[in-house]
Amino acid sequence: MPDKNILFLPGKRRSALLAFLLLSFATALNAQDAGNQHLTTRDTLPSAADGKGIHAFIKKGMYSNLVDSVNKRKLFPQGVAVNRSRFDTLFTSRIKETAFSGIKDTAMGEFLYYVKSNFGVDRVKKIVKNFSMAGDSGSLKNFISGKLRGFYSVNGKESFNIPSFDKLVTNQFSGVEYNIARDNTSLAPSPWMHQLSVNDQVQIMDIPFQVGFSNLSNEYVPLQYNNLMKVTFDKDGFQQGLSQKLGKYYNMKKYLLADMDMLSYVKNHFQSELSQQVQSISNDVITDPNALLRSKLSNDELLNLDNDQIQQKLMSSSEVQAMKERLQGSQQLLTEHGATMAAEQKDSLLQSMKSQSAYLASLEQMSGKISSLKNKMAASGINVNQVTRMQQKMDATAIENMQKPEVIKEAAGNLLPLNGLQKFFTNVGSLNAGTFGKEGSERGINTLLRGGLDLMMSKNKNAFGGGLGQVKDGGFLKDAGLQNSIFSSASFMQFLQFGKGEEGKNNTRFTVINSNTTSPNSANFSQLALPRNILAGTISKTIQVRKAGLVEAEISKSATQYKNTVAPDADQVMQHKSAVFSYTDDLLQTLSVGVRYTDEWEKLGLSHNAHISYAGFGYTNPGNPSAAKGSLQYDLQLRKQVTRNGFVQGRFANRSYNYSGDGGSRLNNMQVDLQGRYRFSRKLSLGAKLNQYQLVRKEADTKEKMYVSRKVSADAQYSGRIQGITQRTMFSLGWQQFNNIAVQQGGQSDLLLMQWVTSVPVGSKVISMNMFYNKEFADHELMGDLLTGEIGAGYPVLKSIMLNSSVTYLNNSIAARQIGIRQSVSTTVLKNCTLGLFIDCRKNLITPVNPYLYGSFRGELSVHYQFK
Amino acid sequence: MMRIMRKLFIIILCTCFVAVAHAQIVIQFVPELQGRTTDGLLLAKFTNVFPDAKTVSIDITVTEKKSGRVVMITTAPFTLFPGINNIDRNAVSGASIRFAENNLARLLRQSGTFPEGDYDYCFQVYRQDKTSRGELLGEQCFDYLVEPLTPLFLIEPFNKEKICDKRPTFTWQPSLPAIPGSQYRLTLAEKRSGQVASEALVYNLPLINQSNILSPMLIFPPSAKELEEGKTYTWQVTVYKEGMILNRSEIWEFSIKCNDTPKVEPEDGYRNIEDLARGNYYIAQGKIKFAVYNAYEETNLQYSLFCLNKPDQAFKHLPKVKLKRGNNNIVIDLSDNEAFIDGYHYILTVRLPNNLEKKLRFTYKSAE
Repeated sequence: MPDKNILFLPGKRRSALLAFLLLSFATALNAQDAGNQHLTTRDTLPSAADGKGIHAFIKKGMYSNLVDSVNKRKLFPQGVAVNRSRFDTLFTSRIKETAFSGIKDTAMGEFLYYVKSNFGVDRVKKIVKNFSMAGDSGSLKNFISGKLRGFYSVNGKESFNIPSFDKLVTNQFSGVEYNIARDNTSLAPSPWMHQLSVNDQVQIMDIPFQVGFSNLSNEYVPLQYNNLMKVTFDKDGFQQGLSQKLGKYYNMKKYLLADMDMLSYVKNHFQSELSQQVQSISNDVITDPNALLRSKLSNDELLNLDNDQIQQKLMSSSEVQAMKERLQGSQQLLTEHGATMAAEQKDSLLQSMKSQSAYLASLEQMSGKISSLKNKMAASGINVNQVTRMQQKMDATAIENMQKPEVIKEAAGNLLPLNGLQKFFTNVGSLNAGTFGKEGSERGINTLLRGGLDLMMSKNKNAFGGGLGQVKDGGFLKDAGLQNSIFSSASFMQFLQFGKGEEGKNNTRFTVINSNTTSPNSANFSQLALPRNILAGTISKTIQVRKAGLVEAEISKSATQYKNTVAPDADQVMQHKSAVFSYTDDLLQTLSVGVRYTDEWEKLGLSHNAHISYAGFGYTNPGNPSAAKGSLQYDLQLRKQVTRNGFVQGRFANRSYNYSGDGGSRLNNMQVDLQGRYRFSRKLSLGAKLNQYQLVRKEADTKEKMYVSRKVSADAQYSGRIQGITQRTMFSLGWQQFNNIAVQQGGQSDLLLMQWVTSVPVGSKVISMNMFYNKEFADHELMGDLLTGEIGAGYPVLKSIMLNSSVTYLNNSIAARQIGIRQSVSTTVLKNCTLGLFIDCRKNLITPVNPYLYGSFRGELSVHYQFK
Repeated sequence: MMRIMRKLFIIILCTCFVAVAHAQIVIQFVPELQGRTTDGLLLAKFTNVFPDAKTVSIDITVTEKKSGRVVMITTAPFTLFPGINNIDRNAVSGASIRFAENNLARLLRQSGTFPEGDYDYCFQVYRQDKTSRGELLGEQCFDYLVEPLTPLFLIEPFNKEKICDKRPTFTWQPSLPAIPGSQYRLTLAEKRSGQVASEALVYNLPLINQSNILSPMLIFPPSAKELEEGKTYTWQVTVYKEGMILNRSEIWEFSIKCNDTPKVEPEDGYRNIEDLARGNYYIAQGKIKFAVYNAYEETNLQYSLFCLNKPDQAFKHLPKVKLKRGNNNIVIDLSDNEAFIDGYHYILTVRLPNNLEKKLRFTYKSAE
């Protein structure tokens, strides 16, 4: 087995190497660095403390093993000859200059055939030529070694002709869904709503893209105005496809050089060392000590037993004692009767005594040798259990590495004949087109882009990309009835982002957002905006601290420049300038900075999120309409895990908003939130929550409370038997207090909130009960005393239909009283089609005071066809 | 309360119209809404009572009582037809703007939002000839004490929180200062796999799209379908008045997840202990499951545990397991026992009633 001879080195070096190798695996079993395509022990085996030569030995050992293995293997019985083409000569000559010079002609023929058929003669020739011309022998060696590792790990002959892609274009419909909803509540923005959505997966040259289409419409938003479509590059799917393809054609464990049987290697090594050591005690009494040892102890016993046990097995203490007694007897005989003994008899006795002594000494010596070797191995941390654990860890790490995106990317680039487009997509982090949302950092891009495009690339830990799209505040179905907005202006935005480092690790990002306001005018939504250019530049820096901590610091500056600006003292219209020319104006008022520190102390079960930020009143981020402006805020969140079953969490936030020109008037918003939950058993858990929110207006000398909201609540969840009946109950009780000072009547209210939900499974049916009660204590009631109740059952009919029927009741002391039924049906028809129907019908027992809150009918129908 | 608000609104509206008015061009401007941003100024409406269309240009001058002139916008010429007119889009895109040299103007230029102040908004409508500006056709001024709106903060359910309540109550901090007649709209939609929060609200059918809300709280609409366990939902609150969006909250999301939801155990998840004992790799997800045959009388299962990673680990409060006669599907629930650590290796030794010992080596994985 070639695998067992990976490191065939003699004597001490081998011991040291072995110890080092195993310890290295135990501490850091890393895959080959994705960025290095060359066969190196550097990443698999971290730097040795005991000598520079070790690496060379390991490398040599691995190369020898690899070369040995491919030399022994013959995939084409008829052989593939190395011809005398320029390519073969060039490649062969280059290989001869490397550590792989030992490759035999038959293996070389197969290797060249593998390279040529998979990667093309011209392409490889070009690469070799380029490296040669640049005098970059290191890169050339890496290239060759990468290909050789691929050749070493091929699964069979089919790996010699790997296609770039299976099909040029494949299309797989994921599903079609149609939903219709009817709500007769008065003043409902959309009494009728329809939705048609289609999901699709398109693969172009095995590169998958998810296509999502949705059309939402109602009587005010006609079909043609609300077509939304999104095309997204499915990065995970692409990685998965590459991984599957790699697994089909290659043994990735071999490619990652993680195919070594460590335990066999340790056993072989121990056996070989021991054999040498034991053989050295060969003498007339024990001519073949190894044979003697094998007759007494197996190799496994030698490895597993401790020194005393081994000694016992070699010769038990009773045997030793008996031998010693025999020697003593012989000695006594010799002393007492030696003088009278015949010479021959005396010689024989002496010879026997000598043999026995020598045998005893040899056994002791053998035991000593074994002890010494075992002690030496133990001192290096090598024992069978540990090696087994290391092997498991190495296997697990190899499996983990095989799933790492960077390893898949590197291996795919090296082993699969990817075309230009596929290679490009191995570096794509994200690609979106159409109407899509972006979720970035607070000062980055956090908005929905329409008619947009966004591409992010990452290569060699460098990230770069950009995008563009329309930003509009309204016009969607959810905004039915809202025709314009002063919240944020519509704009056409472009952005660029570049930086170094991976997301979630140490990284730096520079983001530049440029935006020009627009005045959209559609049937349902129109906005007017003075034409202006807004530029925001953001630098984000993430630093990893400790094991799980992250410090994220961000600084952003914006500038706004109106088109056709006239100087205050002139009548001439100034030439239109981009905001870039006034970027340094009003520094403090257009600056936004923030630092966030999140960390976790696993042993303490503690995690925190601390944040502080400042934003000037003039700061405008076109990529995030909700970005804070005119604010100074700090907040802290602490969470402590209490054993495995519970947690306590505290949140505190203080935000101060400047809303005047001179900074003299501020609004101060303070939030305190405490909550905890503990699971006493799998059946019972209790939780509690306290939340206070207040807003205070602060003038130079005055302080006025504007709004206060407080809530205290506790809940219990119990699932288990009560009086022999299996049930699940959730019960919560809370007290909520509002004080909206700005509202004279109805601004103050105290609410007692109670909720009780119980479900009881009875065979295949589930009976459920749901009750919500709200008692209001206020001079001018805001919500009124409200009781809602529902009791019903869920039950299957005809195996495939699931029904849920219930009776509902609602009573609001100041607004409404209703009784009704609620029915839902869900079923699967034609295998792939799911139908869902929901109806809630109510009869008004009194005429509702606020009919916009108390509708008497809501119906929803959903049809979902899943393509398989 | 509605009646009071309506009265207040009418009073404020009337106050706005009490200004110098020219008979032929009437200007409708609501400073409490439109006087908050530079773009809002352009939403004023102009009623041309002349019998014919007029080509006009408009000067909008905003002055603050203490700081003086803040900004002046001059639109490009456009046609004012008889009746109610908006400012023409081309006139807006060709408008020139003149900011004053004071702190308020600087803040306005950068943010587009008027800081706190007592403002005068004057609209002057000039007849526009081909080459020059003609006579003043109409002029109207409005004054208003502007206080910028506070951000609209959501309170509960908190962002990314996991709750068990399938009909939760929503609360948020009101938008202040309160604008009489303003109302809230709460939108809630399911967030599906592969979607970000902002996409979920526009791509999916809203489950709640409740408008006309007066207080900063919404009890889950009684007729709406309850939320489903395991799903994630996004929500946003908008303040609006007369069809105009004044303020929006961030988009938050929360998931429905109950802590004690009993999981349906697959009936086929039991392998014979003989098979398991032969294998050397078994993952116990919070519990060990195996099948065993007992030919003897009903008794308690005798078993012990040993931790390979922590050999001195003592195990207390191990659950008692009944062993009935015949086939038994055994579940030893370890999830509440803190002695079991995720990823550690253990050996379970089971002594069967026939005194046979079976050893099962397993890796413990937390049930959650």
